[in-house]
Amino acid sequence: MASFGFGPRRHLDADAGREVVYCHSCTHEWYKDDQPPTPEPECPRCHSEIVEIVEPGANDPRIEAGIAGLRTPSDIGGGSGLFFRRNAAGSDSDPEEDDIENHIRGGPARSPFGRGFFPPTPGAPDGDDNRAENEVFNRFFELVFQDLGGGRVLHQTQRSDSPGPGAAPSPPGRHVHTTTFTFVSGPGARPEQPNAIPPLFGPYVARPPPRHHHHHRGPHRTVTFVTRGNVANVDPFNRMLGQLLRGAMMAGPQDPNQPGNRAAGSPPMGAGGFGLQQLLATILNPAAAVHGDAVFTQEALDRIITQLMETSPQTNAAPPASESAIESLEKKKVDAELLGPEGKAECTICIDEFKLGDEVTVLPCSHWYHGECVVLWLKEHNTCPICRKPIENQENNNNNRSGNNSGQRSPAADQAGSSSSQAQQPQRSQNEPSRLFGSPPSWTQPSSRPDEGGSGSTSSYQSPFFSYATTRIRTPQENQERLDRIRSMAGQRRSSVSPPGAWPEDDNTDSRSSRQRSPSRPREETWGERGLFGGGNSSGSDNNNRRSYFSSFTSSGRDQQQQQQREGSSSSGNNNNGNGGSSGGSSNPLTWLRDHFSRDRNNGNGNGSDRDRRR
Amino acid sequence: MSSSKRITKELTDCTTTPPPNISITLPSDSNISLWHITLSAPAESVYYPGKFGIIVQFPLEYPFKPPQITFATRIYHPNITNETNGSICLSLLKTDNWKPSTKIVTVLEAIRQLLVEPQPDDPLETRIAEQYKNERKEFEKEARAYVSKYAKGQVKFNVVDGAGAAGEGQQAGRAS
Repeated sequence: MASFGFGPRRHLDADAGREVVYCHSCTHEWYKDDQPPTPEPECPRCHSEIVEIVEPGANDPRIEAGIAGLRTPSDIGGGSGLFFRRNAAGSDSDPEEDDIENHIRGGPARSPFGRGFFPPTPGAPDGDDNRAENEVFNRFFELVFQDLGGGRVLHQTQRSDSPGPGAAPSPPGRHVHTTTFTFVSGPGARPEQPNAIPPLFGPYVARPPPRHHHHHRGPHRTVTFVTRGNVANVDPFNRMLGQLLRGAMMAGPQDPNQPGNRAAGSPPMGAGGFGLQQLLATILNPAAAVHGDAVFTQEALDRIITQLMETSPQTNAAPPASESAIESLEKKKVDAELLGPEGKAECTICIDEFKLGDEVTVLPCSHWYHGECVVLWLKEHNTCPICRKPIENQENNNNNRSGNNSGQRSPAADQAGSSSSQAQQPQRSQNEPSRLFGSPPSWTQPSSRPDEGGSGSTSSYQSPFFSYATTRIRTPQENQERLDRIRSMAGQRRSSVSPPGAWPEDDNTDSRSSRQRSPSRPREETWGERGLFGGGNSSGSDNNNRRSYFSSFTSSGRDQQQQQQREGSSSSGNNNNGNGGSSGGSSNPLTWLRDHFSRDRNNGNGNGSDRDRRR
Repeated sequence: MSSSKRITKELTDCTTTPPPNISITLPSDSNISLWHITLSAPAESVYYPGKFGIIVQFPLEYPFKPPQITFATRIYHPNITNETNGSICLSLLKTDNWKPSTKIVTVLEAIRQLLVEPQPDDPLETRIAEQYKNERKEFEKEARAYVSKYAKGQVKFNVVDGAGAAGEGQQAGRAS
């Protein structure tokens, strides 16, 4: 039997007194002093700058990356393992790549067909490396034909025409593998109708049955798959499909009586393939409902909104009145005229009755209060406690928007710089975004699960080198650690990653929509573009990230129109002030909330005045 | 200081001329800023004859900050959180809309009115709001079921005060 892929992969010895450098992009490792010094350390093979000088011990990046190479027998059934393995065997037209693969996976002595990942099957002829894959088609056809007409796979034969017998390494591209499936189709189906095969299977050849199966009743259909050379060059779609179905198959219930199904060499059950089922489970698992920058459920969205609201003390509420405005308020002694016909009145703030001769403060709206009472309120909000009319700048009725406010206040603030409330307010609004975006870890953790499953399997047939990433799903923590390490290596010390473009999510998310959306997002690109590794740093781009993140976050909100308006104003706001969205107010995500809730505000005002009238 | 003075005054007002359907108790003699309210649902509401426990926590800054009000009795209502701590979506209680001239009596009246007329366009429980709008019969049935299950007999104020108040703070923020 050929060697199995167990056992540690071989690494350069980092303890040997020479510095070993490891490339996170292509997993290449080399001795640092072997390479000519470059201004920035980079991989001699792929020229990636994401390289790391290996520190022996637990932090060795190769250990983590190499987990695929350290498989234990319990891992054997891992679907992805089979998958990339197969790729590595057949598809590498580039001999150098093949070398790497061998190097990574367990040495050149390994069988090129990757069967090491499966338990040895007694009596299985060598060269049957495609068994498991035929299994896929077998199963798949069963599904398809059962759907089409209740047919089942009756028989399967395989024939490998290799130049040399057995597992002798054959040059890539010359290996011809033939698989014949015989189907019993539904009662109404006519025999030998290869045309009925879905066009899905373009690369395959269908031909009439080579022999007659006397022992089966009913119409037969034989489909022969001829795959030339490496199976990996077959239509990627089919590969993908096979991969997914395979995962589903492995995790799904099995019918032991299925004829022709439990072919030799089938992987053990329950070892957990990262296939369709797992993908879906990952996506739809409520526990994983928040993936950093995407939410899948209403609850998750609620949590995020709550988080936003909590993180930022900023509210719709009117801002504090300026000291000068408070000082300039009219003060007078309570007299009979002021008390009115009833002869008595009470301060609505402290509910104490006024006595003749008390000094009161009269607001521009002609409501009046105890001086100390109303000042306490005005230091929080610049509106009348009864009618909410602003005490300053009455020509601008819109001034409970903080954005407008800072503008209004600025001249006064410049002159009367001593006022503490003035000084605090703009500062607070500047700090807002950083606090908002910087803090909670759940926001900053890059999410990986759903797209690693998806994009991972995509990449695995394109480039075997990255396929190890698909063999194990990292937890967000691991991912974060890893990213942190990589980032610090790349000399980019950012404490957190701002979330890249979010997936717009509806209010009434249901599992169906999230399923539609999630797997297909090309997020790797996003990461790359958004400067995670991209070197340089600019708060500007950060702001863009944030804005786009939140605009996409909000654009799914209820009214698109409002959103568009705001986007217009937000871009202009950003152009105008260098703060990039903090004081412009409009690009602040809270603006959305504020806009959103301002409808409440209107209601609230309605209610409030109602109450006032009643009182 | 000033808050307790005003609260005392309001309490006096409430006990001398009690608002309809409302009775007030203080769970602790030493703490005047925590009230337990028993609200009898108005006869014209679907919640009649339920009795609902309401916890009022006055903040230190009262009346400059709104009181925090939660339902201690479970209630099936579009504007009151169902499963959790009974937060109320009442616009005049939100920080943005709060005015110091609003008295607690006003607030309690508003809550009582909310039982008569839920505001499904401003919901905390969207599902219930939808049901209220589209399947009123079902809603009423469910609401009555809740009343007979939770709002009968002696009113209990089980919600831990601190937790209730803190939860209310959170919920009030997202109340839409």
